[in-house]
Amino acid sequence: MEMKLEKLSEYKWKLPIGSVPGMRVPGIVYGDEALIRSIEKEGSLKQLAQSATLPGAEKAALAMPDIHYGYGFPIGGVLATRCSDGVISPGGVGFDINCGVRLLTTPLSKSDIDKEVEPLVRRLFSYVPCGVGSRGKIKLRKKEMKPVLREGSRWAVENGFGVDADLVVTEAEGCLRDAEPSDVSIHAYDRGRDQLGTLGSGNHFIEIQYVDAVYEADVAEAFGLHEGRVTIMIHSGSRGLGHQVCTDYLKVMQSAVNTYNIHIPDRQLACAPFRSKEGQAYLSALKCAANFAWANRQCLMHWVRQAFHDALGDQCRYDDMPLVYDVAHNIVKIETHNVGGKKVKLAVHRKGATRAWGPHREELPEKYRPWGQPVLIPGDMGTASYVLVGTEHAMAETFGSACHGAGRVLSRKAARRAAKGRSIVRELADKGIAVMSAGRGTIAEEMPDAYKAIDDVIRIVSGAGIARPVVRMRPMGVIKG
Amino acid sequence: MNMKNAENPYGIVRELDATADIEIIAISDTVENLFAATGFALFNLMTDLSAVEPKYRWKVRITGTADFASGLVDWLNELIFLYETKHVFLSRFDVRIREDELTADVWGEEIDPERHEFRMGIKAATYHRLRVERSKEGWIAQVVLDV
Repeated sequence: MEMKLEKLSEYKWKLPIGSVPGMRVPGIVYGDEALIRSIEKEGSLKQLAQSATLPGAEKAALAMPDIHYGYGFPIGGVLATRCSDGVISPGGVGFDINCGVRLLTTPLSKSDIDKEVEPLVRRLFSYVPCGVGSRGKIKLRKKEMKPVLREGSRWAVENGFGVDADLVVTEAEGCLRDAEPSDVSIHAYDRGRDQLGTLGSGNHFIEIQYVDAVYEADVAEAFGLHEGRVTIMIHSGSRGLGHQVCTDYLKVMQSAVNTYNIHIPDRQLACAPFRSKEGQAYLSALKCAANFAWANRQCLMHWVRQAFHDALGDQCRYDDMPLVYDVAHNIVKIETHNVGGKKVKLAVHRKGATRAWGPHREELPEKYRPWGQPVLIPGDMGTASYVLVGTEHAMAETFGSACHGAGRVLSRKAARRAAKGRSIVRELADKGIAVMSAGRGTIAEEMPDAYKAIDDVIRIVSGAGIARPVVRMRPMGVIKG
Repeated sequence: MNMKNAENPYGIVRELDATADIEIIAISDTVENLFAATGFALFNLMTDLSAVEPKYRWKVRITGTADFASGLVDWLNELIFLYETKHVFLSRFDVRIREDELTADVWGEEIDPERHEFRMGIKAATYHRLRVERSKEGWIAQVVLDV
């Protein structure tokens, strides 16, 4: 069945109900003509339409401009379902629960470290466990993991990884409440046991950057970001613990759809009613995994701070590297939104999408409330990353959501093919970007050509009014798993 | 039809183009060899298996699965669990399937960064586009792996 989109405005397109059988709400795609043409035959529109068939779906299934084909749900999608009578679906979050990004700033300017980037990258690579098969420096027994799963970032700070001030500038203050560790399987504990404080592989990274453009000076000032300032971005998630939680509950949901007589067009959309015991158990396990991920990023940040302090001494002390913000981009959050003039409690599934709250929200740190939430958008490793700010318009349009990155255009196989005979590391070095990776295949698969142009994604998000660019950062050095 | 080849001793496995993940299609003469072939392919994506010696043995047992396709997901996820928790790469698989029980002996060795290349990490097998079918050419499996 061909997916036909109706253009609503320059950056907003509608996939009508009926595009696939059983849609309860339309699909809405944020994109321009070029993006729409590129995804028309790619399969992600059908996935968007299929996600709109889930019971309790409200308003629309949303696709951000970094949309691309995933498994079940597309990546770059948002689906909100009513808690009262809708479902919750692990596929709407993905395996890497609370994969997310955090950004630190430093007192350094680009010129302070221009000649130091390679040694800094090597030092980061030695301080931070990363890559396939890597073991962490923190090893916990099962009962020691329970506080991590309950408390998230708070556990990390209390155990010497970071400072109290980090918590208020983390989404959800780094902890989803009412996480019950008994909802997490022994397999998940076993996988996560020696992975706390590890970067992971694939598209996870730690990147040294500098701010090269400021678009909104007042907001940048409030966020602590200035032109020329060196920043560090960390992208990682819940590691094997989160992956196993998703695996376990996808299996539970395969039976649940029969128990509750829910018809799904793709097995990866398996779900259960939000209020069912299966639905609540998954939500609780997801919270545990999300808290593990926040603790993980807190530990990684601690070693980044240590690495910079050990390398640069008084020029960049541990306490001089404040966290700007931390966002999750694979998660379900229980939020109340205005739908058709009524306040509705929703399970907002963001799979490759970032919360992007506008100003005056109580949940935001006080210093950010006048402006809105920082929205951290990593690009590919060769071009740029952005900090945006959430808007009131996003609250009305997208359940307060925006994109999460550049979005892939090439498959991993095609990327490896395109990289044959090329040294991506040398190409990046020629651009002045130092790269170290634990995985041989990673660099090829993650090369810039494999991704959409991040500037286009940002332009569309900004044009659609759902987030505004505040600063742009360019990469100086990166470590990948 | 000669199902065995140098790349995969248990069947023929090809990688399809999938944007963010890895999708494989496998064909083999028996359903047991099909499961072995996908297990081999899983680890061959993560490392060069020619450098992995079948030194030590582990046992795998899966029960209560509804059908072969679900069983395939359970099997691959159990291998991923072994890889992550025992820190091993596996290169040899002896699979037995009876009714709704799969038992297997699998062989490999502990990951050695000096000898074993790291290509990618695989998080899980998914249910997307999943199939296990018998055809004239043999048993066919198709599965998407999350990277």
